[in-house]
Amino acid sequence: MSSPLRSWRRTAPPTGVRVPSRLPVAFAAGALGAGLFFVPALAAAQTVTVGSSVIRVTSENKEDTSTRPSSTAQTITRADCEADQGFQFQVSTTGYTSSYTLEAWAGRSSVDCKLSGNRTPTNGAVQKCWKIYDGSLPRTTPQTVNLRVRDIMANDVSAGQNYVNAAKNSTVCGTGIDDTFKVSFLILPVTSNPDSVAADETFTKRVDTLGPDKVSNVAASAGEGRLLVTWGAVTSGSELYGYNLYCADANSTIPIGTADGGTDDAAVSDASVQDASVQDASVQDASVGADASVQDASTNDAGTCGPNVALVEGAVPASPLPDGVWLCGSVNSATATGASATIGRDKKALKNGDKVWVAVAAVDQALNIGPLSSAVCGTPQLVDDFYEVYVADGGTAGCSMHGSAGGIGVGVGLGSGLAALALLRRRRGGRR
Amino acid sequence: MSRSTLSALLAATLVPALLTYSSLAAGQSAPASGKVAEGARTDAANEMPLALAPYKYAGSPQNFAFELRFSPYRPAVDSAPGLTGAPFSRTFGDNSRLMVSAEFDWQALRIRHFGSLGPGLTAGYTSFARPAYFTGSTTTSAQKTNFEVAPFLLQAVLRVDVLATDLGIPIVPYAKAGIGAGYWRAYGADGTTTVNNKSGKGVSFGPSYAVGGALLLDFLDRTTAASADEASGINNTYIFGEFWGAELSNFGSTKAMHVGDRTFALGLAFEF
Repeated sequence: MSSPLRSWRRTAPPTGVRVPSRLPVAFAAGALGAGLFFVPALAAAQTVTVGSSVIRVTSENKEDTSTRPSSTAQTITRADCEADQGFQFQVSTTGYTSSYTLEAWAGRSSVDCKLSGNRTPTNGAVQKCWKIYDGSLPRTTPQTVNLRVRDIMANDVSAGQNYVNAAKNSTVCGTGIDDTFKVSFLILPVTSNPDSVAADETFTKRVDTLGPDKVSNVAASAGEGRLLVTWGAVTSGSELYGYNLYCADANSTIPIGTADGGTDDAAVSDASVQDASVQDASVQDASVGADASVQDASTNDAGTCGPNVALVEGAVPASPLPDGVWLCGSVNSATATGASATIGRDKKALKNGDKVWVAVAAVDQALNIGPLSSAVCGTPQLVDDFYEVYVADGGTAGCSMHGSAGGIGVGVGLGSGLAALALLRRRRGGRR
Repeated sequence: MSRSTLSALLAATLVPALLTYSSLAAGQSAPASGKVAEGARTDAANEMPLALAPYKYAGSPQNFAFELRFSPYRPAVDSAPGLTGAPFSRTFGDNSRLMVSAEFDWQALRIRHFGSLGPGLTAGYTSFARPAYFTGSTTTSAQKTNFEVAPFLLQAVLRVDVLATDLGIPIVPYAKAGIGAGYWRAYGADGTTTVNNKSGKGVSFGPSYAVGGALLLDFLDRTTAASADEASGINNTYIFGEFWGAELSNFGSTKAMHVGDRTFALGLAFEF
């Protein structure tokens, strides 16, 4: 069975588009006596064909075998972008001689990158396509071509005719995109009229890096080894998959939205794109320390948690999370309005007495994470379960040997026996 | 539905019943458990207009009964000897919860002009949940603590249906007695509570009993009742109320969770 991850929607016929050479050009060349030297090359038909098996690859160009929701099978998500995923194409060509180049371009779905004006604008027109492969593809056929998702969704035309090279950092991942992009393989003549397309093959791909709306009305209550977190359901924005709970403590000094140790600054979310309410992490940086904008625990839980630096309201959690911020709970329900934060900083159980900040972010069907809610403080505390109260009051009942299977088994066994006996008697009675 | 239509329906339903019971009061033979005995056809045909004549249907064989039961229930945990406090009341309060249960009876022995006797099995379930108190505090947390009980009762069931079958009084008194096993479990957010390596679950045994009365509903609409019998084999339908108890405490043991209760039940019963 072919994986849904492998199929891209072609806009060209599956066998590839065979575009005849520009015969008028050949005739013109012949008529002008340019020489028979050029004629064979121009007369031969060029084709470019991409196999139907387009697979996702990791940043090391190995096939990505991780499982993902079927809803994201055909989508480039923010997580894909942050993981620097790529797509691997099997490209076959004919007539791809030294007189031609084979280039890969990308553009919004509404833009036709076969038109030279969209790749090489003139007279001050706006460039609408960007080059997503460095130089011309090799002449080997068939050949494997890996294209980076960051390049595909770069939406960056500043490179002009050069390779956009957006994959060099993850800046593009933080831009909220919800659109369809095209990838076009174009065979272009080198010498004459380089913008005329000899052959092309085009694919479309949906890009959805726009997370759901911010969660509001977050509150946390203490439980035993947990914080019981509640929030108001997100009812607008992307179709939801669930909610993530992020925790930090007073020792967490790196704002969320800044990737691990600041080595991948590009992961910082861009407020101007994501959501008007999203705060830029660089702005939040200024609040590190005793800045007045730091959320003070006294406003949440009797001043027990210390300053909150890491859980920046409105910032979009990026992977990997910065040191000191951890995913402490989640719920895979779009309608959930509460969940328990149970995981501590050491990835083990949250301990009673641990003073933690917790914030909530919604997750959509593409597994894009929305901006963080405001953070609230809580401290897990011991509670008295009924059985603990019972034992403390001198009760001695309880035994692992007489579990549910025993009690239910007694009932089921007795019931089955009684029913079988009765039915047997009724059947015998019926024969009389 | 117009008032005249409603009146006609009521007349069609109640008049035959009243006429039937009038004739019974005059000493005629009783219908068999809600169904008009075949012998009644002659008398009815002679004495009533044809439209009001009882439906002639002897009924399908009757061997079983099924009850759908609803009870307030509160396990007598705090009554266990040896407890220094009332942990159940302190945790869950003093109110009962609704127990939903089902009973299947096999009317193995039919005693003519008296009733039926046979074994019956009951299975029920209820649960309690309340916010737990912070340790050493009278303040409740948002974390819930829970307790569930599922009693299973095996009882002898005696149904005295002679009033309905022989005298035309649609009441069936009954009594039950037997033994029960009450599965219980205390649990929290992390599953079954464990204290000192002892798991908060178990089974408590003890005697069970019940007395009650069932109101035969068939007389409200004999034709429908007979049709139901023909179509599904349901001979009689009742609503009932009973007092019942289950002393699920391992016969008063201090080492058992006392999960029994003495309470009442209301419900629907079907004989088939």
